Amino acid sequence: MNLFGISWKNIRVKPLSTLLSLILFVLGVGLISLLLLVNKQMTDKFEKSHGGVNLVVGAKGSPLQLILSSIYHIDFPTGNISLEEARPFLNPKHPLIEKTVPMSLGDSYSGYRIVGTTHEYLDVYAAEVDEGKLFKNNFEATLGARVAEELGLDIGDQFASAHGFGDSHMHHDEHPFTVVSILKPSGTVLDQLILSNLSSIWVSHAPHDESETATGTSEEDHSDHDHGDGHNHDHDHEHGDHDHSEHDHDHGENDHGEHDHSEHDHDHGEHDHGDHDHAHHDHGHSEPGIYTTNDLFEAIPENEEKEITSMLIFYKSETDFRALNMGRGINDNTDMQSANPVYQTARLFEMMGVGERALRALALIIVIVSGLSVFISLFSSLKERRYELAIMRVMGASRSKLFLLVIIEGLIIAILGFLIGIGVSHFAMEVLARYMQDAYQYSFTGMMFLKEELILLGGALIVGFIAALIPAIQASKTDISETLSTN
Amino acid sequence: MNFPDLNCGDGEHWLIIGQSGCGKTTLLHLLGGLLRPGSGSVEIDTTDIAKLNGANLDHFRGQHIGIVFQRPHFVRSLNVEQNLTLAQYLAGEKQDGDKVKSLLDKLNLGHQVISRVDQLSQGEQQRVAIARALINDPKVILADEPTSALDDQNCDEVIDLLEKHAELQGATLIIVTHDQRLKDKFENQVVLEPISASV
Repeated sequence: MNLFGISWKNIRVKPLSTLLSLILFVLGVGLISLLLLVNKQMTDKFEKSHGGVNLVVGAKGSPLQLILSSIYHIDFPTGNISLEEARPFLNPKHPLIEKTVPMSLGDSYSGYRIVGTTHEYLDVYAAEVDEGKLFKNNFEATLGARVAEELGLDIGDQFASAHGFGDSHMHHDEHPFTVVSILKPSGTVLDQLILSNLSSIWVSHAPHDESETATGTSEEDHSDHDHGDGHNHDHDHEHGDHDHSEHDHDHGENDHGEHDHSEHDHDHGEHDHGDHDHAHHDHGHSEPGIYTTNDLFEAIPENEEKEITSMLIFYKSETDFRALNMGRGINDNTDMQSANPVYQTARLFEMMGVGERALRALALIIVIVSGLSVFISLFSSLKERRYELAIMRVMGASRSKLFLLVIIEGLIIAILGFLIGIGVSHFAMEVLARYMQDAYQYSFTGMMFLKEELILLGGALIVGFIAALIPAIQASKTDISETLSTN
Repeated sequence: MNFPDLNCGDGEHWLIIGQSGCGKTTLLHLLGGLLRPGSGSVEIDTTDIAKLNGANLDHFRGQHIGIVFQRPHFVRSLNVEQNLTLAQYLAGEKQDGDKVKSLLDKLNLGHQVISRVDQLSQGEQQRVAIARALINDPKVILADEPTSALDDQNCDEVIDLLEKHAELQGATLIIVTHDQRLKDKFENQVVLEPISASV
């Protein structure tokens, strides 16, 4: 038997008020810890996936949306830009630009976004191939580690991309992708992406890819995606040019600039074959596609009307004022807009910060109320415990022992509340992670512990101590003689 | 309040008797170190407990003085056995479970070891209180109206127990009471005068 044991038994003898104090403590601590977890992981992932991009150039619209869609793959793209316009920024001889990563967005498979891009994109995150070799030819896909794991896809597997980012009803069934490689986990947004070359996206978005369902349904599908999907412009535009009643995949007649489609073979059953075998007739699929930024720049003359969604630009020198002015020049003089990722994410965190601060304040209030509840519970129990406190003095307990006894009761509730609160918040984070994964394209986890949580433990102990302080002083002042003479 | 000088020898049993309001309880609290005298001294063995400071007095009381009150009070969250162990712990003595159990056996409480204290009868509770006063082998056992709440049978039982165990341990026993039933049981008696008379 020791003070701790007696305190513990004292707490257990009044389960209801203990439970109330405990629940409040758990709520307060849990909420704060959950906020810390979400905040920490969001900030980490945002910073990690930032990749050192200096400028993002895309269609006009919200700059934040452009950053979110092109770097973090969260929001919808703002629209598309034409290669004609993008050309100067793709020029490898551009005096201010070290590297440009073009990308074409708008399709997905099973909720994972397909990014038509060039190999330079992988350099941004220093991504490494786990197995296989990077996409080169059309409809070769390189999967992020998480995509491969979650969808159970392996090298050689095929899948049909879907239009838009949700569970789309429109599938590009005629142009299935073949998995050629899987990336090592990088902890960046790449883990959640499916990469292909740029030309694959162009091919699958050429008019023939209208599904054979009734036109009405297709229209509906389109309007579903209109708000965010830049590729719709492409479709709408080309619908006007082509007779869809001849919707027979006859690309030789629909000359819409895809020269590689002129002898398109529509026997899709054959797509399963290894692409090298069919290089000469399985067009569009085995055709070497555009997979480096240089290729793209050189291919512009024949593809002037083709579109991409955005470009990630890396400056040669971040301090060159001409580079810094480039963004304004784009906004003022072109139909495109530029956005600075550092500035936009800072703005985003500032906006989210308001809600976070409000929640944090709420959590603090709950913790204070829980402290108050501990105080009231201890203080009100003093009256009925005055005899046992006096009798403990008779048995030899000093004033400081009674003081400690009550303080320990406050601390036990604080520690229990802290431990359960941390448990609850980490469990909640684990559950939330599943939903957040879909929303933010990152893996979150409840299985990480932060050093801030140690500070939280310190805070909980202080609240428990302060709550118990006055009752403890009161207990230590128990007048033995007076208490025991009033029967 | 003034009290007459009183000198109790080692192992003697004393009865201090008086009507209510004559300061019996105050005297007992002075003897037990629960109150400090304004003047004068309370010596146990060779220690003047009136001169001991806070924690030292608490410690001395825990080790050498056992007190039984009119109404037994216990720590509600602890069972019978734990209340006795608590007395050992708070006095800074070794926590000796066997000693607790054998003492409870001697007081016919062996079957109530793990009972909750508030489930016991009044007589049983008073016996637990006696056991608690005895557990650290005190030099002095003080009892404040130990029998006034009990019926005749329990009254006899409690007094017998107190006398028997005080004798076994060689402790001095001082009982303060207005209970006339005890009058004939003690040779050494002090009658306290009402306060108005003694001032």
